[in-house]
Amino acid sequence: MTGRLDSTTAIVTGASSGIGAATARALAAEGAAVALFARRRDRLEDLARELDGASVHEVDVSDADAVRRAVDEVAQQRGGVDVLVNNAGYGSMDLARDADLAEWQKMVDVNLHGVLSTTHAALDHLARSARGSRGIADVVTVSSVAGRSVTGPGSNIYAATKHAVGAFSEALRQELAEQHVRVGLVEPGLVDTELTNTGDDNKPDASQASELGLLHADDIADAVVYVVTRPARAAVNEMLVRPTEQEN
Amino acid sequence: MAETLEGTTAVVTGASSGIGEATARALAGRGARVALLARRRDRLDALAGELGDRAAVFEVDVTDDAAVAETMAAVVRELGGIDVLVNDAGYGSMVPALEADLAEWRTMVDVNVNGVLLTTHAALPHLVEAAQGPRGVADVVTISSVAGRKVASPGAGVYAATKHAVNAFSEALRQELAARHVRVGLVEPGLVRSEMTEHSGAAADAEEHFALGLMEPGDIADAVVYMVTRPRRTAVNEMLVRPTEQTR
Repeated sequence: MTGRLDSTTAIVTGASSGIGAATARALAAEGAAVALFARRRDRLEDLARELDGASVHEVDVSDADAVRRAVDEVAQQRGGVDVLVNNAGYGSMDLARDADLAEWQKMVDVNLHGVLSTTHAALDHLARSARGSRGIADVVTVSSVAGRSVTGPGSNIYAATKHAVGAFSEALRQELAEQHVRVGLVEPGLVDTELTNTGDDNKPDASQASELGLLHADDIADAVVYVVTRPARAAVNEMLVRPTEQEN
Repeated sequence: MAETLEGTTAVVTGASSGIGEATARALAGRGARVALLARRRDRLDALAGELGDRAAVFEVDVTDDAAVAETMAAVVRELGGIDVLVNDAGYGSMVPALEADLAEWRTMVDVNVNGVLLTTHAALPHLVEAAQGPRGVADVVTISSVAGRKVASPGAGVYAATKHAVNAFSEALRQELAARHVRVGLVEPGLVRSEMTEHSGAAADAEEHFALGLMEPGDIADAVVYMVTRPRRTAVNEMLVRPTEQTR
């Protein structure tokens, strides 16, 4: 069976669970060799066993040096990087007055520094791949509805980091258009993931959601696959996806 | 099942050319019966001839409120309901304000804003009813523009104003109809080959200067199809799609 991503290499951060794991599976199903990035090696190894051609890279995206080593290693082993999916994220939804500063810093570290470090390390490789036979390369960042508007009390720093990522992605898009590196954002509403189903008071709660009030991780993985399988001329720069019943 | 369009009825405005025509073809290709709406009957008849019993022709000017209301009633009478409305009819005249003809401004407001409002108003009760049927959702997709998100260049002032208005309307509608399972989405294309961009010279200009500077109508039709074939929990509210090399 031929896939639409045969002989491409994709890096997926936060690949140990949720949207990242689903995206890694979906890209591999289209023929991509997927480099799985996350901190939890055991989870990545389980996933890698399921997928043809996947490689495991135990890395904390907030550690810029470790990220660069891992990205360079992928590029060297696979001969390039065609697709980068920035998915690793962290959310904590306390009201500002009650919040722990360490939680705020962690969101900035993972959601913003993580995206910056990974993208910075991958850019040269992506630009080079875009000059290859595929003729394009892709950066897709999984942002959030909270990257477009502050959706409710408690989404303060989460929304701030996602807005920042949105601005960065747009700037990158403008800079890289000429080099045929497509830069896109997927902005999901409520998705059933570890972030939303822990039952913690300070996380968005998916457990009470109705059937049409909650996306599945596969829905977002599918959106990423859609973005990276368009004809070379068509760059999906933004896709905002909510569960059908989500109003805000 | 929201993933197939068998047994559904889709209304497409501006179906006589460009994105509308391509969208009508693509929806029919997925099994929908398509009501083709536009002013130019000969063009619609030719398309309907190609699509056979999948298509029905309705000659209408979307700025004529009585005619639009009558047409929607006729669609429901003849095709049994409305599951999908694609607001595509649009008009663009890109002249700096200082040199612009007021009549051109008026035509843009009439077609791009009033056209969408009249068509959507007439279709809404039928869409709400369809969402209670076996498909379990209904869809409104409006073809806006990059200019619905920002004023990207001089000369596009009123065009951008109308598209911003359409975006605001779509977002309000989305919030109101979420509980009724009517998904409301926008596609915001950059430069696409169309009568509008062929006539203005923008398409030829992009082809001359860029390898990947122009999208084809089928690229946008494909985005519409993607949106209306998602599982019923998944509402793609916005898709911003530019040619890979378009920076603005």
